[in-house]
Parts: sequence; structure tokens; C-alpha cells
Amino acid sequence: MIPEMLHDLPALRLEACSPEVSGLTLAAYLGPEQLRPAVARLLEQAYFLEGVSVVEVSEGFLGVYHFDHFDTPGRIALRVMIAKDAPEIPTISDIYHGASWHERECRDFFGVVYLGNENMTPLLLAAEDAEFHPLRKSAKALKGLADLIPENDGGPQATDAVVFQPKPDNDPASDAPPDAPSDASEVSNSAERHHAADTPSA
Amino acid sequence: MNPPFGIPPELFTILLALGLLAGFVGLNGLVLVYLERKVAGHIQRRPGPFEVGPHGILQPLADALKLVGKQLITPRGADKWLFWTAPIISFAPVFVLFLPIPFGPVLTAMEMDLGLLLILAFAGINVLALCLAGWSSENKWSLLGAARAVAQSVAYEIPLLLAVLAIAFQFGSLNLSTIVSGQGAWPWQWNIMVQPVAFFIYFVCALAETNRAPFDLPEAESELTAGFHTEYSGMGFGIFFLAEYANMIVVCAVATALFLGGWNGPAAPGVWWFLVKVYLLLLVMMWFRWTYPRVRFDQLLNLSWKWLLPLALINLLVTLVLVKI
Amino acid sequence: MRQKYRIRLNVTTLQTLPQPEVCIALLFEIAPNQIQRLSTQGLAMTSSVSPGRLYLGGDFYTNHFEKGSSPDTMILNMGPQHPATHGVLRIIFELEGEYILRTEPVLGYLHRMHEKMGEEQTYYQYMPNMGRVDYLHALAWNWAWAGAVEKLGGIEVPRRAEFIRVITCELNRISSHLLWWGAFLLDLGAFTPIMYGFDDRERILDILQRPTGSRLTYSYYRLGGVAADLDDTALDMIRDFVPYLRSRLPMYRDLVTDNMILRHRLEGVGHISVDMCRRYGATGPTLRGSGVAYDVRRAEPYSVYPELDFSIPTDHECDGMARYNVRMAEIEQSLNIIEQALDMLPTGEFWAKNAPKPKWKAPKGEVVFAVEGARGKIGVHLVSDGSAKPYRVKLRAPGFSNLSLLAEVARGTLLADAVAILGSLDLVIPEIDR
Repeated sequence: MIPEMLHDLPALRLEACSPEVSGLTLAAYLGPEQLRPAVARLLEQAYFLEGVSVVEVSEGFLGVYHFDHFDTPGRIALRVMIAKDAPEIPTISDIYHGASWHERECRDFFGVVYLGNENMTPLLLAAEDAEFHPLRKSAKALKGLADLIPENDGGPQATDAVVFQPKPDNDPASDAPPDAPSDASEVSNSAERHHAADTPSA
Repeated sequence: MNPPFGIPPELFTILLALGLLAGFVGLNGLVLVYLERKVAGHIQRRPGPFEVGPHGILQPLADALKLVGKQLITPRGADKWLFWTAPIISFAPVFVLFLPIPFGPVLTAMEMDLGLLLILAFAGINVLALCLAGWSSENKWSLLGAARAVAQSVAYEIPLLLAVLAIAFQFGSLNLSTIVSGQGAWPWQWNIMVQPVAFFIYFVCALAETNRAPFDLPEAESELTAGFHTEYSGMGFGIFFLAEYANMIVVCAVATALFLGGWNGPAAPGVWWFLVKVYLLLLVMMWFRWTYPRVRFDQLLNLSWKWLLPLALINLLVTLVLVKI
Repeated sequence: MRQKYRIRLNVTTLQTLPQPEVCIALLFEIAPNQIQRLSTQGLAMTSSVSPGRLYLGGDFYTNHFEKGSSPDTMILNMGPQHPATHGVLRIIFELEGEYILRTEPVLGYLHRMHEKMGEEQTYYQYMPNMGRVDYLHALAWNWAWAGAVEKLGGIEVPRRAEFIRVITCELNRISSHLLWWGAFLLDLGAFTPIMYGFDDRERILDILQRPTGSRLTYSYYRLGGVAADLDDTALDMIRDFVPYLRSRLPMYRDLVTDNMILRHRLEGVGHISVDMCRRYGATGPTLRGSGVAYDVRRAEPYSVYPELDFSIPTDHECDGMARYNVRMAEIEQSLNIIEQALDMLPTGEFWAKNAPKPKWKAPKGEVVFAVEGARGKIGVHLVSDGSAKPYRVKLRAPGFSNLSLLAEVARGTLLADAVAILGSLDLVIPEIDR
């Protein structure tokens, strides 16, 4: 279930997830420019930063941000898709200071650049190996996003590639908040999972 | 005893005493190393050294051999002369410090009226050695250790002097033998009963002056790796080590003479009573080292300037008033 | 030597000129090869990044850190070999006297790229890696991996295995806290507690050695169970151990916790506010020492923890002493948990009959699973493409987030405080570097 205060999260797409299946309560797909407002919103709501990582898929790099809450636990995933040829994401290290190290780690592993992070020096890998990114996959090994993250529990529809374009006007979350994604998942998937999604988290 | 080769008798006595003291200091160093390791072991619920000789009694010899056999390394960029002078400066005054100490009723290397002053004056040289060692090592940790050593030494020398001064006023003498003979055989006749505050201040300051835990900040292993002697190898380190133990004996010997009745004892006064008391104090110092955490530097200085110094002054004033009455 | 001082005196005049090496060569008529020699000794050049500061060599990270420092401070490099950094952590300080102006940890000296190894190994093969991420609480990492894969694949775990996991994991937590306790006090200059801590920890290792076969880097949990059952001997050893350790804890309190010097060293030192924990993602005892009762065992209940009765110790002081108290209280809570789990331990199989085969292929999907480790929230983010190997493994190490707040906490404190703060965060470097 989506916490009340996050219904109008500035997102391309909000998906209610079931903690029993994926460990998430909410997954939000964001455009790069929506990331910082959304993260600032989470800090206002007293979420804490759990981690920042990147998953390389054939469409590009999927920046993944996990947040959780001390008092009302429920993990939230923010996801930002960026293109391979310009792997740049705005930093959130000035909002959540701890993100700086996570971002540096992602730069080491994937070569993703976090714009605005004051200190992007290598963190875990040696400075001499700054151009070597060990977690990059060969083209053959890459999978599409839809192949990896199931549709109901956070993934966009395969036909929804357009969803990654920044379209704040078309934002499905802004007009009809939690019902739209929930309905979609109900139609497309098993009732059991949907039932799990509806059980309130502690 | 007639001195050979026409050496003046006084000079001969001093030379003989120095020779004996060198043996005493060296032997004591070995005994204390063994004792420290055994005490540490037993406090930590382990036997301590046990392999070399019966109950590991030859362990200090093995340690010493190892240290002597090690290569002496001068770090690149270090000031070579100062670097190697420092351990010598640290160790040289030790012999002088022992000269006026009354080990027994007649066993004093050099009777002098200003014996206490001599000890206090020469004990101050040690800090110069630490300072030089830290500065010349061209190592930032050593430098920090040296800075700490100087600040700590200066801070604790003053309350220590004031505490000792109270005793000197009480007896009207700076001669250690006079002070010892002024005390009786039984513990309630000792100075510690008359001057407990002075003893407390003296002992705390003595711990700090010899850089023993919980005041071992100049070497503070977990903070400054090894502080001022980080860069010393082999006997360079060994001499600092030996000087530390020798200084411990000196401060404990002075404490024994000033506060614990020196060689006086309930039966058969003599050098054995003196040694027993000195070693008891040394054991207390070791006990502190292996049980207490280390204080922080600002706390260390606050303790001296804000508590010990006023306390020592008050103690001195009260003593003066009482002596006059 | 004289040259050295002359050069130092002239550093300020040199900074306005273009190339320090050339200037020095001109001023002192030294041959260029001699300059080279001098500069390798760190005597002859001003720093290129921070004009006015004497160039003392230093690697990429020191030079980077020097940017923005003022000329009359001291840059001090602590580690990667230093007694207080417990392993190969490296921290660069900018000091004014002994006060810390700025600090920056440098990581990566124990980086083994576990996340890449995860992509190259099957789900079973990856388990031994987990014992090496955090060697002090290896079983929590075992559990994080096993739990994540079980969640992804919908693998059932027998009830006996769940209780065995609880018992062994809590024992491991106690052993981790005991080692932290000793090492922390060693940082503060007390030499003896670590021997006592090791003494008791030894008994835990003896117990865990029986079922796991190893003493440190356990690889004990399996998908759908554990590798070996707890036999009667092991259970008896645990039953003996719980009251034994409980009788030791008051002694620890008397000997160490109430020591005046210790309290002065820790109280008010390293104040970490809840807000700071939030921004840096600090969890575990670090967070609970700031008064937040957040424990993954309660917040995201897993296994049989909901059936067990235990409390989450917190302390509102936010300082080093608070974190100390929380960990000491956690040892007692873990003992309670073990006692209950021993009583509730059912019979049955310890490894599910229908557990996945070694070449098992996980279903497609993404899963995030978290457990409570000794240092905080251990998270595994697993993405599977349906093959026998994971597509992406992201390990969330609590120590990584906990350490990242050091720069903010240590600012303005003394060097000795920084050592105390580092110790109070309970760092395990392999976990941070992964």
C-alpha cells in the first residue's frame, strides 16, 4: 500500500508493491528531473536512505534508490532510467548526505555520473582504474527491463517504453493516484499477489 | 676500601656506585619487563610468558637479545643526529637520578643535602628527549606524541613539585636520608599518614611523568601508533623502554623515601624493606596500566591545572601553617 | 639540513612564481636531479593543489583532500595500517593542533567485488562469499542471501531450520558484540577487556564450530534450510553457555561500564542525531543509540522472530556511551532469544527435502530482503533474469552507511575522540569495502 502522503509523489508512474513478494511497498518510476523533488519529499516525510544502486539493462542504466522509514516501515524504491550514451543522473547527495558514497560506488562500478556531487573521486576501486567499470555487462548478457522486473511488482508494461520520457503533464500519478497502478496490476496479474499488496504493513 | 691508582676516595665511591647502579638499572629493566608481562598476563586471565626457561623467566633476556639484534633504521628525512641523540638523552640522566636515593641506612651512593632537588632537576631532562625524538623523526604521529609529551610534562611537574615541597618544608630538608630517618618503623609513623593528599598528588603526577597508563598519551598506541618512538627500531626503542622502566623505579623510590618510610620497617630495617615498598608501588602502577582506559588529552590537562595544582597549593599552605604552629 | 630550512622559509615567496622546482633550482643553484631527490624526500616543492602548503608527496587521495585546506594546518593520514582502524580503513584528517577540521575516509583497500562474483556464481555457490563480507557476523549475511533467494524462489524453510537459524545467528551476534566490546576498549586504551571478550567469544566459536564446521567465515545456511542439524551436544553446550554469559555480564558492567575514565571518554562524544542517521542511512546500534527503536527483526519481521519475545534496547543520549549501552543490552536480549528458541525448537527436518538443486534456476524478478546484523540493516537486492545465476546482486552493508557519517560527526573533535567515534560505530572493513 502507498502511504497517504506519497500519493502525489512527482513520478511518471507509481506502483503499489507487496512487501511479501518483492520487499517493496512502493515503486516509483521517475524522470531524471523528478528525482530530486521526489527525494526531497521523502526526506520531509522522514524516510531514511537505505541504498543507491544501478542495474544495467538493455534500455540503459536503471538507477535504483531504496528508502525506508524508522516508524512506519515500508520500503520505497525510486527508479530512474537513463540512457547508455549519456549516463548522467542528478545527485541526491546534498539532500541525503549519505548518498554521496553510494553514488561514488555506482560511478566506480558502472561509470554513471552523478551531476552535482562535489566529490566524484573513486571510492572502492583504485584511482588508476577510474575508467574500468567491472559491473558493466556485455551486450550479449544484457536483458531488457521487462525481462527482469515483473510487470505487476514494479515494472512498466513492455509497451510502456514511452513512460520514461519526462512528461509531467501525462503523469498518471498526478490525477488519479493510487488506483490506476493498482487496477492495472489487478487486471494483469494473479489475485493472490494483489491481495498481498493490499494487506497493510505494520 | 682503598681506591687503587690513587683515585680520590669520593670519586671512587661515585664510580663504584655508578657501576653498581648500571647493573641495578639493567637488572631491574629485565625484572620489570618480566613482571609487567606476568602481571598483564594474570590480569588478563592468561599465564603470560611461559616458554623460555621455567615460567618464562628468561623471556626478558630473549626480548633484549632480539632488540639488540635488530637493525637500526633511520627514516628518510629524519634529522639523523637528533634522532639518535634522543634515546641517549633519555637514558643518561637515569644514573644521576639514582645517586641520592637512600636504598638503606648506609647504602646511599652520594649523600647530599640537595638530593631531592637533584632528582627533580634531572628528571626534567627526559621530556627533552621525547621532544627531540618526536621532532627529529619526520613523522607526524611522532610530532603529535612529542607535543603531547611536552604539554603533559610541564603540566604535571608543577603539582609534583608542590607536593614534594610540602614534605621538604615539614622536615626542613631536601636530603632524602634525613627525611627517611625522620619516619618510624611502623606504617602509622610514615609520612603517608601525615600527608595523604601530597602522596596522592605525587603518585598521580608520577604516573603522568613516566607516561604510564592511564596517562600514556605521548605513546598512545591506539591513537598515535606509538607516538614519539614510532620510528625507532631495535635498541633505539629499547633504550627508551629501559629509560621508562628506570624512571618508574626512580619515582617509586622517591615515593618510598618521602612517604612510605624508606628503608624503615617493623623488623630489621634495611635495603629489603626499601625494595619491597618500591616493588609494591611498581605493581600498583602496572595494575593501573592493565585495567584503566586512557584519558583524553584535554581531560589530562584539566586534571592537572584545575584539580591537582590547586589541591597541591592548598596542601602546601596547610602544611606551612601547621609547621609554623 | 640548512637547505631544508631555507627552502621552508621561502615557500611563501615561491607560491607566486610559476614552477616551484625551477625557482628552487635558480634560488639555491641546485642541479635538477638534486631537486628530484629533494622532492622525493618531500622537501622541495609546494603542493600543486594547495599553494603555500609544502608538498609532502602523498597519493591521489591525499592530494585531492588537500584541496581547500588552509596552509597552516596539518594533513594527517591514518591508516590503512593503524591500530585504531581495525583492518585496512584509511582516514585523512586535517588537523589544527589535535582538533579535527575536516576528515575523509578512504575505502577500497579490502575491496573484493562481491557483487560481481554474485553475477558469476550460482545461487548456492555464492553462499561462501557471504561469510566473507562481514566475518564477525557472517551468519546474518548468510541469512540475508538465503532469505533473499528463498523469497525470490518461494522456497519453504522447515520450522526447525528457522529456529536453528535464529539460535546460531543470535550466538554469532553475541560473539560479534563481544569482539567489538574488547576492540572498542582497546581503542580507548584499556588493554585487558579484549582478553575477557575473547575468552567468552571462544566458547561461542566452539559451539558454532560443531554445526558449521568453521570458526569465523561461516557458510552454514542453505536455500531452504541449514547445512547441518544442531545435535544434542551442541544444544547442551548452548544451554550451558547462556547462563554462563549472563553471569559474566554484571562483571563486565562492574569492571568496565561504570569506569569513570571510560564514561568521561564516551559521554557527549560523537553526537549522532536521528536526523543524521536518516540522511546517512545509519542503522543498527548506531541508530538505536540515538533513541530510535528500529530493528529489522521487528520492522520487517522475517523467520520466526515475530513469535519470540524480546525488546529493542535504545538509548536517547546519541553519544558513544549510548551506543555502548545499546550493544551491551543487546547481548542480553540475544541471550533471551536463544533461550526461548531452544525451548521452542521443534523436531523435524533441518533442510527441506524439496530444496533447490545446485543448478536450480530462480524465477525472473526482483527482490529486496533485509535482516538485522550486529552492525545494522543488512540488505540484499537481487535481480534475476531466470537463469541459474543472478543478474544483479546489490549488497547493502550497514557499516558502509554508518561510516559515511564519520566526516560530519568527527568535525571539531579531538583526534582521540575520532578514534572513540570510529570504535563506537563498530566497523568491519571487509563489509564496508565488500
